[in-house]
Amino acid sequence: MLKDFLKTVFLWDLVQGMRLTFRYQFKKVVTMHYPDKEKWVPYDRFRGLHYQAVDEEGELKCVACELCARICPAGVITIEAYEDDKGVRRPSVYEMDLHRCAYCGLCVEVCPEDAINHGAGYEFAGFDRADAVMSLEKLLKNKPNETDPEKMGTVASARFIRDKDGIRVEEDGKKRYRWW
Amino acid sequence: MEALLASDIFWVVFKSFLAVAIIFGLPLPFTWLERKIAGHIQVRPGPMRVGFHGVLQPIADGLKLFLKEDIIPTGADKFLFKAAPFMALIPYIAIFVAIPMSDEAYVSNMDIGVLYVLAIGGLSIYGIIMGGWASNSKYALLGGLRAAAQMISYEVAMGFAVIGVIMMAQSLNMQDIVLAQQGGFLNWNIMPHKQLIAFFIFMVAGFAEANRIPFDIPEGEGELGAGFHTEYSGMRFALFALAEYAAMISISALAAVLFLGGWTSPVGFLDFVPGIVWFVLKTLFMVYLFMWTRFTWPRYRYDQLMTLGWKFLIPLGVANVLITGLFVIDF
Amino acid sequence: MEYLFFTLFSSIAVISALLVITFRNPVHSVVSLIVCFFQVACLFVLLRSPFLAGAQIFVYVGAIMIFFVFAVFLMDFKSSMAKERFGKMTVYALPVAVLMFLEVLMLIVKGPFAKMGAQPADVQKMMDLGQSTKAIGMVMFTKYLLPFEIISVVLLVGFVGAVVLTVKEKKGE
Repeated sequence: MLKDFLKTVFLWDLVQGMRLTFRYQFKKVVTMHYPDKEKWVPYDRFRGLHYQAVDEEGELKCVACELCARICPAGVITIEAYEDDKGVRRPSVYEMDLHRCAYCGLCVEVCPEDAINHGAGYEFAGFDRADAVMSLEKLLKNKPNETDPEKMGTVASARFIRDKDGIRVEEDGKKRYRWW
Repeated sequence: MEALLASDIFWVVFKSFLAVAIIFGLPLPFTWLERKIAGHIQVRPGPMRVGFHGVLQPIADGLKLFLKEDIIPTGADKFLFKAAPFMALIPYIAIFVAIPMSDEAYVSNMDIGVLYVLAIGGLSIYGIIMGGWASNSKYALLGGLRAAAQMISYEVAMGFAVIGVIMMAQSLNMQDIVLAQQGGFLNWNIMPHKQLIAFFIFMVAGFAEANRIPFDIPEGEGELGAGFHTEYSGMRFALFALAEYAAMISISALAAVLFLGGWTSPVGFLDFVPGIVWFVLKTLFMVYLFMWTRFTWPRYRYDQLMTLGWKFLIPLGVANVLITGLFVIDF
Repeated sequence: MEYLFFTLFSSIAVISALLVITFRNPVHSVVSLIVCFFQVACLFVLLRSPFLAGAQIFVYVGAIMIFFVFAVFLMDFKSSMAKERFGKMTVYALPVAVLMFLEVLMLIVKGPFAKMGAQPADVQKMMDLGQSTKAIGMVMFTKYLLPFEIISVVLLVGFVGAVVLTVKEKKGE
């Protein structure tokens, strides 16, 4: 009773709050210093920028069945098909307008040939609306180059580069640590 | 040249310029400091990208605000709208004239120092009220009215707190008040056997006068947009922000002078350190207290604020004055 | 130098006082009244009485005028603003105003203030030392104690009156 009264008089709750915030000031900050110093390497399961897979001979897997274009809830994918010399159906145009894409992953799930896939890319901000429209050539380049599962889900030290090739953040491989 | 250096007027003008330069210059590093403290309390680094650990961030922000368009809303009272930010800022610059930074570094050693500071400090509220009214906006007007009500309530409490200190020093002169606290931290007015209650009242009222959290109801982002400066943009908005920081600094400096012994050293063997260092350290500590509380406590509701002011602080202040009077009569 | 400042302060004071009654917008009037009070405080400084100047700013500019502003804000002045400057009452008010002005003029030129000499010696000495606060305290609590107390009673009556008026109104509802 007396204790409660004294706590009220000396504003104990407020003092406790002050003590807590004071202690927090000396904790290690949890911020990831992207893009200046660090970069996140996503997991394999990450639904990032799409890419088109190729088989062992370097031939496009896609057979332009248009299932992905049909199932896409946002109408992201445009496909025009043609028949190549071997008599296989192939896409002459395969465009994804990623402005509309919600990365739901339905196109990847429905693909019978495992041709369209989610990659690890998440840095596709651009200065032009056309930058987000992915043509077949661009989709082929998007295949993630990180295959080591040990390195996935980590924060890698990186550096921010701005030159004539554009703006990008590149890993410098100096340091790497697990986020959790 | 020698004649110039010898003349009083030159020194008065020079010191005044210095005071203005300090007040205009300090808010820049302090915004950085505040954002850093905010960041670290929330376990993030705060500004990091402009310069070393973001030290140049305030300059970038200032430049941005400076280059922004100065919008005056239609239906606004143009003259008052333009004048209000200056009305808010100038009193806090004027306060610094009376605050002694050491036994020699002051602009004016006024006979009525404390009264002057309280009187002039109260004027900045006109900037806020007039800014709120001249904007011709409901939110801004409500912010201005809240500021006025808050001001009336807490100026009284602050006055009572300061009366206790004046009674201890038996003088309105700031230098006399500092000298009365000489001889180690046990003689400071913050000690329980001196004016601890007055210090508590002064700080609560100070938070209210500077419109800082937990008493920033004139601004009240949650319910009033941005309160009195909702309609302000660019440089005029920056002046309001500057006024807030100037208020924080001057109230911190005032608290340091009135309660923390001003430029006197806390323990005897540190007397060789120049007084201005102690003054700056004490003021910085008070500023830190302002920032620390800002990111700890939530905002008070309007009625809670009024209850605290009228039903708690003012009676406490009167009691403090009476008790101090009893003790002062003795010697 | 002092004369220069006196001219400056007093002319601003007079001009702002005139503006108080000529502005149509009440808020502008209040602002010029604030300026006027401020200039009066400056005049007190010139009269070697910084305490009075501080009290003037603290009480009039800092507290009373805020109440004024508050009242003006809550008032619906858009309707009262449009009316003409001279109403019917001007006819009656003008002679009274002229009479009052003459009376004040008489007081200044021929009244007791004109003949008032120097302060008591000890008070004058304190004023010269720049201890006007002490001097005012001495005079107020010795020579003018009774008027001082009477004025506080008057203020109390004002307080009580305000409370009585508001409480009555509530009962009538």
